[in-house]
Amino acid sequence: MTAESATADDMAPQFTALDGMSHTIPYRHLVGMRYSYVLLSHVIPLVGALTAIALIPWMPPTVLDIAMALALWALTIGVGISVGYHRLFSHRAFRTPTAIAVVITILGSMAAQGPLIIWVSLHRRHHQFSDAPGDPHSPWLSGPGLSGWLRGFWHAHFGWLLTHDMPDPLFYAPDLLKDKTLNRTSRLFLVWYLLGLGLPALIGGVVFQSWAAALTGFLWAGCLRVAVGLQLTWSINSICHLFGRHTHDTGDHSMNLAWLAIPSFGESWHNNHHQSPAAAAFGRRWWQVDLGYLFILTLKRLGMAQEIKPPRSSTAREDAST
Amino acid sequence: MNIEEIENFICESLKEVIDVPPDELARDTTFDALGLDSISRVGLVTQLGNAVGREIDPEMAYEHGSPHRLAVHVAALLGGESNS
Ligand SMILES: [Zn+2]
Ligand SMILES: [Zn+2]
Repeated sequence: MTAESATADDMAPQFTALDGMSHTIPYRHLVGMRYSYVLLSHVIPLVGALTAIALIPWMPPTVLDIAMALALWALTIGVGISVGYHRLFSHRAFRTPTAIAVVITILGSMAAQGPLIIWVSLHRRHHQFSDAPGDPHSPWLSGPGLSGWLRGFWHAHFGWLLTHDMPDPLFYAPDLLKDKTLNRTSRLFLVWYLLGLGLPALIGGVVFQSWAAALTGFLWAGCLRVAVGLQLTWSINSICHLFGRHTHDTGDHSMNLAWLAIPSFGESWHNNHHQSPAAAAFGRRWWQVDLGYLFILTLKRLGMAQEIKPPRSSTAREDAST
Repeated sequence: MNIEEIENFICESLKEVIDVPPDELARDTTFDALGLDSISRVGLVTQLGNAVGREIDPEMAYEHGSPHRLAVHVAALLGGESNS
């Protein structure tokens, strides 16, 4: 096994809507797992984030806390989720050596969005159906009128986590299940996630030699960073299928949304992405800032990214107003 | 379905994640050794349940952790049903 071969031997499997509604596990079989996940990865960081804010008068964050939160944001949401979980693994948009792929998986796990293999299965199914019945998190399938719109928004943003049927990883992510190294890294999700909460506490505590600094490190660079990161990614699922510019005829409601581009590392050029899912770049024009793609180009410079896939030729309507 | 047919079905369901053709997979290879995570096990049991027309408790993919053992269990379930 050469260094380059292990992580992206296969293309991302391609699915069409003709694959039908099967290949899912009814949600009632996974209720326990699901509620534990939401409690651990959503409720705890949220409580921590609110505590961080409530404690500001007595224990304001240190400069180090803010720096660690921003750095972990870039590493987990940018490198881990956007570059790793999404472009590298879900869509196989480029190749990278196994060691890099493992590090990226660990960083992605620290974003608290679940084990790699689950995320990839869900995301490939999202592209398979994209706003048609079968899409795990479309905001367009919750009925007519304002109440349907509101329920759709809630479902796409968060509600789906508790109610959607689970895509079967045997069908949707066999390439990752088969890769022993990535499979094992994916299954250690909980360890990596807790490490992402504990590390800033440790660093803060050691640097300032105080328990208070350990606590604010945990609350700000651990909990608050995770809680806001979750909101960001769920916004791609909800907001980026509702608001923005629909430049390409993709047959769904995916949108390009400029104001989310920088914090999302390019994810919010979501209509571009649905037009050409396997492409490594999400931005198409010089002004469509795509920090995730910039990172991939940096990897390439360092000889750690190959076979970077270009976008399909565009069907974009010329957009004079931009 | 008899035990052998169920084993074959299980191995066929796993064909994308194993290194050998499904009919060559040793029937007593454990799901652990194949690296099946918990959701994949539930997925496997769901597929199997659809095939035999009877819901199977997902826990069974842990308690009976190889194609052979799971097949024996499911065949017994089906047998029990047709007798009653
Ligand atoms: Zn989408
Ligand atoms: Zn995608």
